[in-house]
Amino acid sequence: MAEELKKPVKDTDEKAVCDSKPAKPANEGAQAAAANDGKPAKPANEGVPTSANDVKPAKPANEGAPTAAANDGKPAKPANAGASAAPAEGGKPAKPPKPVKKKRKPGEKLGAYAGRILRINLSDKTFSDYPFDDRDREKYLGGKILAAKILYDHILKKTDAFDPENIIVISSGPLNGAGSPSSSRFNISGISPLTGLVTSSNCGGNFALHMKRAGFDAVIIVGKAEKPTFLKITETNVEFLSAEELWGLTTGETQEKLDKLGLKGGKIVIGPAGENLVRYACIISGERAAGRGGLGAVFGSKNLKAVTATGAKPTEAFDKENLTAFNKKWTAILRGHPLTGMQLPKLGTAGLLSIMQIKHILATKNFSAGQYADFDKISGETLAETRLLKNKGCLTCPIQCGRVVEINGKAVKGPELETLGLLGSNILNNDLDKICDCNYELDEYGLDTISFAGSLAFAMELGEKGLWNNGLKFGKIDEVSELIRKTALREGEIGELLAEGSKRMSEKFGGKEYCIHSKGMELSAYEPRNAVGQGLGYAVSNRGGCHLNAGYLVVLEGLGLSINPTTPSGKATLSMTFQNLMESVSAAGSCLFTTYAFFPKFLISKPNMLLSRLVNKALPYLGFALYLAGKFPTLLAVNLPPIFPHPVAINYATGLKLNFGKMIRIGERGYNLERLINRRLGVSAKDDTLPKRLTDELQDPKNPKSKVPLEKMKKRYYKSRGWTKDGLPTKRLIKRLGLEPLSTD
Amino acid sequence: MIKINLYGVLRIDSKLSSLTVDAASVKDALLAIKAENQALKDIELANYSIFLNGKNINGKLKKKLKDGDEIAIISPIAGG
Repeated sequence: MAEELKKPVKDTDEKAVCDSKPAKPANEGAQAAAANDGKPAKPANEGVPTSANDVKPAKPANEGAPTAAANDGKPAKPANAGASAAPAEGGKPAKPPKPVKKKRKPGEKLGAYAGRILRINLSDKTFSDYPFDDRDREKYLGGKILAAKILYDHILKKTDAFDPENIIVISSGPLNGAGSPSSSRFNISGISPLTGLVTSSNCGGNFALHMKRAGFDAVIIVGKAEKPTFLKITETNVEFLSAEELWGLTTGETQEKLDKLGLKGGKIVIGPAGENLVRYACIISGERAAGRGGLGAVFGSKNLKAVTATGAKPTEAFDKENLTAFNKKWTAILRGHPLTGMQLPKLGTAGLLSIMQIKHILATKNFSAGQYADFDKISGETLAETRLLKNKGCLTCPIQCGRVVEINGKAVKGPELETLGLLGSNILNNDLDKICDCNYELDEYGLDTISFAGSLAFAMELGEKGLWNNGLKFGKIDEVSELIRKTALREGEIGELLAEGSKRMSEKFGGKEYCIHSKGMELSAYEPRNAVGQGLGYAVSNRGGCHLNAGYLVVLEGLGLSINPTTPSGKATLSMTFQNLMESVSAAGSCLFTTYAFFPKFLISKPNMLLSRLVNKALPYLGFALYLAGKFPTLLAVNLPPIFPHPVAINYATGLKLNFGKMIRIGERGYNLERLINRRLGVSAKDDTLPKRLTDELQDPKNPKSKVPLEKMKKRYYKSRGWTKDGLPTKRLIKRLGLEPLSTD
Repeated sequence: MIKINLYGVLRIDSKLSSLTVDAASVKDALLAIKAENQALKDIELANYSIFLNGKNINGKLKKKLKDGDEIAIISPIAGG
């Protein structure tokens, strides 16, 4: 199929011939197309226009029947708003009748999806529909799992990230545009230049909504443009426009310029770092970043500066009346929860820094310690008390976790927790203003703040240990802004080497035992020696050193809950379960913060009460139960909207019949798909590792448990997942998940 | 003297970050700061995560204190 992608697909005439035939599922299409001798793929859905050129302009969202799902992120109105309830006898107002639940007829089109996937070939400036039908949507849902399926069908052999054959998949989920709270996130996937493996980067903002309004659930970008290009996607066309005048501009300047060109819809852009192939260059949308994995450099390698999407197609929910009512309840759940209703709005993610200090999990001095004496100078509380201008958030989000701070008289995005930790304690920097400045500069140049800061900390340690005469020292921060510029432009030896990331620096200078990465990706700000489940997650994560793809077990090990942070007991199955759960939530288009409702309020607000303490004690011993639930998800064929609202909202939005167990299974499918792609790219158990500093050196010399017992947990993890001892999915598992492997998988 | 540091939403809402009291136990210390600070008067501090010299006391409010001890009180927190 990789070969197939290279061939231009004509968009109109040939496809029109076959548009009345039933669609093939994507997984069939992947194999069949190769056998079809390069004939164009069949359309995804009957009745759906077969090319972007065929599409008639849709009515604007405000014409025709308005839908709750087309509310552009405004809070949903109550289901029966406007209809005054007649008072019942006795003077009490009668409860409004519950809307009747709509049932999907066999073969009826799914709601909420735009229904089409667009494939763009930069090499020959063609575009076409990519086959993906409702059976595929049910199986892969959307977002990163949908993207993994497309990558799985195309990345059939080891492929370099900068090879034109590397593909980028920008994908939305069914809840994007459906009016559900905190559900405006989209995904960008491809092969990472940092890790050489599959990476998925999740981003907030509004791009998903605009992409769906243009009529597409996802956009696949293949090939390489001859000259700097930006793509303008509308309902009726894809334009390949010159980006010569945008090349060299920062992400903010690029977006301003696009605005001036009248492109007011969704935008994703790269900065100079992406153009210069910095291995951890990010992609920016508004003020939000698809930060991790270096897909900005993949854009750069394809001479692609930006993608814009505009349109007016409404997102049509399957059961809009019930969805609107449910969205209202879900919003109330988030507003009433102590984490999403109180802590995150008031302190943002930055609010974690203090508790990380107290729990010895704040990355300090290149992860040589878990505490920083000056932590309060860079804490979320100090940020809120002294710098915060206002909150900001994504469309449809009642949480509004984003921070706005002032730099040189300009209101700009404030730093997140990861940036505070990694540009603060991890390089011994207690200057909050400097962190705010650097955070802004990194976004403008288009660099991932985590990987830049991690690489900088490693370079500082190399400098202090005399392995690289670079003049860098911990705490010496006056040159950091200049280093950001040099890195983005790959200027001088130091800029060239920082742009390559930690792992490649260690291959040149040594220091591998304290080069803090997993699979080549720098770790997030959680020091795992006092949260060992988080350590396991970092090691086995498909993406590399990412706290979220890891399963984010630190939330149980000290942040939020308080299970024993240093025991390996239960951590394998808990990691697996959380990874699968988060995978499915992400695929839906929802923010991972929506999973906090998973923790009953009392566990969070009353950690000292007996029941809370019992839960914390018991959780590590739930391993076998979680293992069984993973094996037999029918045991979890229930819906528990107060703690896990996602499947219910998806059911109303699409007409699918999901439940908790099915969501876990979808997440498991996604996680294994990425693992199988990584296998083709060369991954095995040897890559699921951490530097010796974290596995062999004690964080606290008096506490023999203060290191990550990785090998012990890894064995259990592989067993729980149904993987071989070499960390690879078995044929049996692949079959159980309904995946279609190559003979070599 | 016992030093008490407040973190999270508790600190933002009360506008109090660091206090000192004389107290023989954690419970006494909490009662003392509630009595001395209007902003804490109606807050059930015993529900919060409380750390004594960096260690979670897990609700054991009777823990004895000695001069120089440091207490941290943290409101619910997660997310990153």
